[in-house]
Formats: sequence, structure tokens, C-alpha cells
Amino acid sequence: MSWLVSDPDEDLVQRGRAALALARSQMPLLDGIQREAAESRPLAGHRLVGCVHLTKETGVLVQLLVASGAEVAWTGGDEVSTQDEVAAALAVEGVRVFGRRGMTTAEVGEAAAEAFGAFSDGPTMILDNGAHLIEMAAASLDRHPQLRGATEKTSEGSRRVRELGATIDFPFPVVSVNDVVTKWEVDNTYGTGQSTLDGILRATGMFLAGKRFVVCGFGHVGRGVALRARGMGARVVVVCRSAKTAVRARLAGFEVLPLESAARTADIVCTATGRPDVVTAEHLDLLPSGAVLCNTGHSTAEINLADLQARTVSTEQVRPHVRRHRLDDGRYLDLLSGGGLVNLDAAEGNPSEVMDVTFANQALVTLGLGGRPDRYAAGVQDVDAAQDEDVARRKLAAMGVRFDGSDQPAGTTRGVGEDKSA
Amino acid sequence: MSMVRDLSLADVGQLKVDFAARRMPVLSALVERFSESKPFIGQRIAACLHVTTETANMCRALVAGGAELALCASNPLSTKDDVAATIQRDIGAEVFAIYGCDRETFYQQVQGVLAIRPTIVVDDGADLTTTIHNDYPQLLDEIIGGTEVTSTGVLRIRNMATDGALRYPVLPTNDAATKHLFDNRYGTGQNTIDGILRATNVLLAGSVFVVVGYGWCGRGVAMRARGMGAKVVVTEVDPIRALEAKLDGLDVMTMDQAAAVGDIFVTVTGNRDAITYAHLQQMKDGAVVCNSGHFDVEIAVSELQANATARRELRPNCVEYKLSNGRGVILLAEGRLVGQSAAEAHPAEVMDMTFATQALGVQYLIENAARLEPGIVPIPRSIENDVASAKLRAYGIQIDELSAGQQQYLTDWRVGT
Ligand SMILES: NC(=O)c1ccc[n+]([C@@H]2O[C@H](COP(=O)([O-])OP(=O)(O)OC[C@H]3O[C@@H](n4cnc5c(N)ncnc54)[C@H](O)[C@@H]3O)[C@@H](O)[C@H]2O)c1
Repeated sequence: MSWLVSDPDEDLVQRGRAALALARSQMPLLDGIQREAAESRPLAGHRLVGCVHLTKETGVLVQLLVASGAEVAWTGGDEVSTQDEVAAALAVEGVRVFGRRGMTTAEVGEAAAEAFGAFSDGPTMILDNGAHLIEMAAASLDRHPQLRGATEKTSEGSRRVRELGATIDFPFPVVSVNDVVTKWEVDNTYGTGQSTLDGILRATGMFLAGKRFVVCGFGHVGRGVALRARGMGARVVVVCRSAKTAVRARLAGFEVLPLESAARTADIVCTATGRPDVVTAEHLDLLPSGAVLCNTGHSTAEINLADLQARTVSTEQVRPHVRRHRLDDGRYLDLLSGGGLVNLDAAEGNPSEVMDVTFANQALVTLGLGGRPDRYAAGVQDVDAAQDEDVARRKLAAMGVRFDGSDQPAGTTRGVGEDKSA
Repeated sequence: MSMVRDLSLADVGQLKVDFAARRMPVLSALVERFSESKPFIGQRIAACLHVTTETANMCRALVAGGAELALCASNPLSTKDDVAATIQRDIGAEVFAIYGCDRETFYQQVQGVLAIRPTIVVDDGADLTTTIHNDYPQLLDEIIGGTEVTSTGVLRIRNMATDGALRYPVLPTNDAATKHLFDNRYGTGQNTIDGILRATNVLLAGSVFVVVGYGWCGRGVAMRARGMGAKVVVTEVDPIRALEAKLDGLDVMTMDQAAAVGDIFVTVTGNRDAITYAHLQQMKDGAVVCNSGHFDVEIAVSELQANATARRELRPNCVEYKLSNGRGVILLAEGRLVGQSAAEAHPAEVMDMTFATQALGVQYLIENAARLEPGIVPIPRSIENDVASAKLRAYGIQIDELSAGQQQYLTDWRVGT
């Protein structure tokens, strides 16, 4: 059986087109890049396979790639996030789309494998989100001499790609588009910061002003969550492991505490570390009754659910995304979204204008690899500073913001390339 | 003779009301206090409120204090039928409220409530107060006083008082700091942001966010918008409020100027025509416009609808109107309260303060009936202090007390330089 989307329902196609048009209206960067690339067609002759959540925003990215001359195969790489109407609209535009909303984890893998094998001559370029396709390529490099490049967008996937790069010599550039100021600031910090608070509000309807809000992790995402929780009037406590991060949090005016102390008075605990077992038995035993637990980090194991389950005598679904765990000592804890990503589950993930900036980075690297294969050396690479600067300028122009460097040509602003540690 | 959808819904309703009670520590303490002191014995209370779990807990306090209580809905769309059922069955008020009922039924419900021949009127939006004065003047003799919870209701009653039409003393609950600080500032501040996010999912960070009116609600909305990373602009008609916004670090400009630069607009003026059709025409393509003031008169909605060349529902509560200049304006919740329409009403913790203030206000009216004149009664400081102290206790926060020397310093005019 194939997961290829074919002959989609006309009604579905229409809805997909409307959704894509709406997203495009809020994605001025991609729209602008597409207009430029439709003329120069730097991806002509390329066969491109992508594995990124198939939302309407991703759909706009796919349209850009097609307009740039590429043949495209796509899969969402996720059980539930595929928007079937977007898949349908892309399918009639000639994109080979694999998968649908509501698949098992095994089926997600099958669809990804099908997408990877969609072209008889194999893909020349990969766009990845979680390194699924790059792992497939790494396992079969000798059979894919036609590959010219790959990009990876997530922090977790970039970590994985670097691990792979330590043992394998990729004969083509594998570019991580995560460690770029315009990606982490806009997407991880401000996008996820907002959508996490949005998710907590939609899930619980709770009043945030005055609440003790504990953020575990003060990376790009944790910092965004802490800023926004403070902005909504919460009393924020930051928990982190690295001394450098703790200094940064303290000097930003946040209280820094070990989780063991913070847990005793917490009203809300939100994990944003990307690591498993941040909240475990010892902390669960200290939390006051009624505390809310949620996660916005990549790992769904940040809150140790087995430890929680071991103390639970019964559970009750009190609101759509809130499961109340009654514990054996009489307390109760409210777990949001089953410990999964609360911003994706209870809210809507990143707004279109955030994905616009993230995808602009990924699109520009891909177009660059198509037009000038020598721009990046073989092996695992970061996005170069000039592109980061270019994306930032495009974003400012879209917002109508002028700054002292507005009139100078790109690349001449002071500090270019120095700002990696922001 | 009550009117509720279905009494058998009461079991579900009761659970919800009990759950809300846990987040309403101030009101729950009042229930206990009133069941002992019984301050409302012999009183008949007519109430017109949103029929929600929080209201149910105030009803509990009034009934615990010995009152005979009749309740109707201040807005048929906010009535929760299961809550109405438990107020009737378990709390023991006469309830006249059915979700979504038509206007005629609504007036029957008001009649039903007034059949109790109230001695006290508890109002939200002043509908009960004006109905009594216009259509049931025979009831006025027995009424010793009333309370009114919203800014807009207080404004209407204040206008009645100015016209000499108000026939009994009214305590404006909205004027209490324990109401407007929590409800208008922090409550509306949060629920406006929540409503905008749910309706649009736009990124607030970096956006130009225009707050029209810098009153209690406006300050809260501005504070939260800035907290979400927006660049906030305020428009005002009151020079003092405008100055306050300026010194709070916000940009202050006229609506004409703001219209051209804003990405998101929120009206919280309690006034009509805060954003006119001319303003809408000056806006950027894709500007988002919404209201958090009580009535849907703040934005020129009907003119927008009449003149639009196209209308497109982008998402629930989110409609784009194309103007003849080719630009689109995105209107949320058709100009009605965006927090209540697209997000949820105020959380129980906020209503705790409002309703505790209201319940203590009723007690105050009764205890002081002999000396209060018809008109607007200033909120006694003792009620605000009582409620605020109870809330601090619930938070487990202690504060300092004035020493005898400090007390004297503050009260003796002879002490000086
Ligand atoms: N959304 C909610 O949950 C909620 C909660 C409480 C109150 N309200 C409502 O919000 C509204 C405002 O309440 P408030 O307590 O802030 O009142 P307020 O009187 O404190 O503030 C209103 C402000 O708007 C200003 N204003 C009036 N007309 C204006 C105009 N044309 N342009 C600019 N500014 C103008 C006034 O000068 C004043 O400063 C009322 O209708 C009230 O009933 C809503």
C-alpha cells in the first residue's frame, strides 16, 4: 500500500488553497524569495525530498521550492500534524505528497521511506526536521551519489546530525539552520515563548498574575517562556543546570533556584530543556496540591510520567488538555497535554510570521545549494553569517522598520558574524 | 415558578460550582462567616448576573446569610444551564435563566425575579435597575438599596442620579479597588491577550499594539501587551490618563496617527465610535481590530460591514473585510468583548474578589439603610480592606502593621517639620 496522496477531493483542494493563501499573506519573506527564485530558477533539474510537518506554512515553503524549478516529494514526519487539505492542494500542483493526518508511528516511517524513494534517480536535495531523512541518507550514502545537499531545521535534529557527522564523512554539505540568530530568536524564543503561554491559557484558563511559575531550562525556548510568563504577571523562577545560563537568568532579573526548592511553592512547572527526567519522583513529592505540570521542550520525557503514574490513584479529564492525577497522599496535580508539547497540542504552535522567518532560512540555504553548490563545503555546516544578516534585513523590511544600516548594502552592517552568542 | 432548562443537570453543575469554590477563598470564607452571623435574614434580593459557577458561589454566600434570592441572567448567552440548575436545586435561589432564550422570554425572566418584591437589587449592566425605575415604580418603596458591578452599568446609574431619577442608594462595586484592580486591570488585561491569540494566533512580539483608552482596562491590556513583547501605543481623550501612559513609557498619539501605524487595535473606552470608519480606512492591510469594552459600540462595525467589498471568515471569531481601497481589516468577534467571545470569561480567582466585594456591599447597604440617601454611595474603605486582607491570607502573605507612633504621625496634623 502507498501513502501517496492522489486524486484528492475537489472540496479538500479548495480548502487547502484558501489555507495556503491565508498563510502566504502572513509570510512576506517566503513570498518575496519565491518571486525572486521564480525568475532565476536555481533548483531547475533538482529532485528535492522534504520531511517537515505538513502545515499550511510548510505548504508555502513547498510552493516556493516548486516555483524555483525543483521536482518535490514531501512527507510530514508526524502522526497528527499533517493538514490533509494542504496535502491535497499541493498534490494537484504536482508535488508527490506522502501520508495523512492520523497515522501510527510505524506508518509515519513508511511514508517517509516512500518519500525518500519517490524519484527513480533518487533525490538531489533534502529538507529535514528531526534528521529522519538525513539518517536514511547516511545509512545509504554509497547508493546516493546524486545527493548534493541537505538542511536540518530543529535543535534536536542538528544535534543528531552532528553526532552522525562525527563518524561519517558526508560527501555533500549538511547545513543546520538552527543555530542562526534569526531562527532561534524569532522561532525558539519569541514564537515558542508566546505559543507556550497561549497553550497554558487555552488548556487551563487560569489566572497567571501572581502565580509562581517555574521554568526548567533557560535556553532559547526557556528564556522566551520566562519572559512571556513574567509579561503576563507571573512570578517566575528559573531552574537550570549550567552556571553560565544561571548567571544569564539571574542578571535578567529572574529568581534562580534548584528545582527542589522551587517545586515546594510552584503553581506551574514548565519544562523546556530538551532532556529527559527533569521533573522526577523527588520533585513530584514536593509540589503543592493543584500544581500544573507541562512541557514545551523537545523530549516528551522531561516530566517523568512513570514516576507520576506510580503515585497516581486515579485520573480524570477535567478540561480537553488537562488530566488531573489524584495522588496516593491526597494531593492532585494537573498534567497538560500528557506531558507532550503544550504549545502544539493546546495552542497552535508557531504563528505563520514566525515560520516565515524560519523557513526563509531553510529556503535560502536550499536555493543557495542549488545555484552555487560550492557555497558550503561538504560535511556538517552552520548557516553563514551573511545569510543570517540577509534574513534579518528581509524581516525588518517586511515590518517596515528602518535602522542605521538600512541604507547600506547587506553585509556591511557592523558586527556581522560576531553575534553568534547572543 | 422558576425557569431553568433542566433540573437534572444540577449534579454536573454542582461539581463545577464546588470546583470554582476552591479557587474563590475569599468568597468561601464569607459563606462561613454569613452562615453564622446571618446578616441577610428577612431580605429579598433580586439579582441580574451572568449565570456562571462564580455567580453561583456568591448566591451561596447570600443565601447562607439568610436572604431570599431570585436570579435572572444579565445575558442569555452566558448562562450555563447546569449551573442554573444547581443554583435552583442545591443553593436554593429562584432561578430564571435559560441559555440562548429570546428577548421575550428574557423579559418574562426579569418579571419573575421582580415578583420577589426585592428589598435589595444586585445588578450587572443596570438593566434591572432601569427596568424597575421605568416599569415597576410600585416596587421602589420597599427597596433599601442596590449594587452595580460593571463600569458601564455604573455610568448609566450615575446618569440616573444626575437626572434625579435614582430612587434608592446604589453601591458601585466597580469603584472598589478590589474589583477594578483585579477584574478590569488584571482580568481584562489577560483575557484580551488570550482572546486575540485564540482568534488570530498572530505574533505579538514586535507588533505595534494600539490601546484605545487608558482606563483600568486599558492599563491592564497595555501592560500585558508589552509583556508579550509588543510595542504599545495609547490613544486617550483624558489629559491625565494620557500623561500617565506617557510616563509609563508608552507612545501616546491621536487615533488618526495611530490608525496608520498599528498592527493590532483594542478599544477599551466604554464609549462609542472610538474607532470610526475613517480610522479603519487609514489602517494597514491586515490590521487586526477588536474591542474589550462592555458594549459593541466602540468600533464602526456596521459601517464596515455595509461598505466592505468582500467578507471572508479566516478563523472562528476572525473575519476579514476588504475595503474599497483594496486593503483588508480583520475584525475579531464582530466587535464584541474579545476576551469573553474568543477566550473565556474571567477566572474564578478574579471573580472571587468582585463577588466578595459585592456581597459585603449588600451587607453594608442593610446595616446602613437608615442613613443612606438615594444616589451613588461611595465604597467604604473597610470593605476593600476586608477583601484585600482575606485575599492576602489566601496567598499566605503577611504584611506589616502601622506602629502606634506611625498611626499617630499619620493622623495628627500638629506633627510636622
Ligand atoms: N472585557 C472585560 O472583561 C471588561 C471588564 C471590566 C470592564 N469592561 C469594560 O471596559 C470598558 C472600560 O472600562 P474601564 O474600567 O477601563 O473604564 P475607565 O473609565 O477607567 O476607562 C475608559 C478610558 O477611556 C477613555 N476614553 C473615552 N473615550 C475615548 C476615546 N474616544 N478615545 C480614547 N480614549 C477614550 C477615557 O478617558 C478613560 O480613560 C467599559 O465598557 C467596561 O464596562 C470590560
